[in-house]
Amino acid sequence: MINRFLQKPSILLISRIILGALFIYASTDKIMQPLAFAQVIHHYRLTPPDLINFFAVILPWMELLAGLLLIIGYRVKGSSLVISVLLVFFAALLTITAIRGINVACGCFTTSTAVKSNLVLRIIEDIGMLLLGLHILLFYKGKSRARPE
Amino acid sequence: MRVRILRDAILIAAIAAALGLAVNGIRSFAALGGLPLDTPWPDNRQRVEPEFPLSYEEGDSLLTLEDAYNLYLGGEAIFLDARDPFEYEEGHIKGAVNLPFDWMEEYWEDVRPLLNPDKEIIAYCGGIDCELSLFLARDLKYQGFEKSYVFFRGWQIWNEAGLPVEISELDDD
Repeated sequence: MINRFLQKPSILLISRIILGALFIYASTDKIMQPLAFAQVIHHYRLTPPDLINFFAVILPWMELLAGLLLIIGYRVKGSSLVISVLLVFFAALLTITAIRGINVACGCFTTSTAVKSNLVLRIIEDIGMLLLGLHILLFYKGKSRARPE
Repeated sequence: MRVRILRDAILIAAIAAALGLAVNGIRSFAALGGLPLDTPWPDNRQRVEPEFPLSYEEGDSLLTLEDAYNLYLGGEAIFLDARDPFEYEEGHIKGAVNLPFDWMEEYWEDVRPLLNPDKEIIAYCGGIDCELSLFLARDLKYQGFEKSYVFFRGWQIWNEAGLPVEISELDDD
């Protein structure tokens, strides 16, 4: 019953659009302001100093590309796998940071450091998005190959 | 099928990384806010509390290396080197202005116009035995520069962290 609901192309399309749009949105500010994003990463106190700028440069592009492909409908499963792996990684990062008691701006959707984040809320958001990613990864049938648009 | 998904995912990540690096390269080249990939950040993985100078008093505002570096990146703050001119000349934090605490009167007139009471002022000097920065920041606070901070052991830890420094010849006039 629930399986059939989750397999519906329209439901899958909604998941793709929501998740894709969230990732595109999340990537733009980071791409526009790499220094501010590097600063956010630095504040997590976890990243080896030599790699901070490297991550700040490549991470938002992964979000953007995977988000775009998800919406366009090209290599959907691969994109949802990229996004799901990123979300698992972010969830781990946020959990470790919450446990360490470090007060950070999460840098999830914006590079602003003005407001410190409620990490528990952010972890819940992350898991919500991860569910969308897994939904697509597990149920998408790759119809775009059978009938190309 | 599974292999294909994994292959796609790796390919997407690799293309995105290449795109990011390429765009960053272009932005760095065109001075459009690219990030220099070879400039490391101060290592803050261990929590570092600022060290306390011997003459520390309540009211002295101490900065960690990380705080100082963030202010440096912000570009608004001014760094004051409280050491003697010959030490300053041999090397100092990039962009710092020399205001030797021992020669305050001689230098004050030149440095005063550079200071803005609304912007952060960061006084630093040499190693653990140098407290000139502490006295300088106190002095500045007393004169109404409320945002005066002490970056204790500043030159030493800044230099050790490999952060931007410069050497400059002093004017003789």
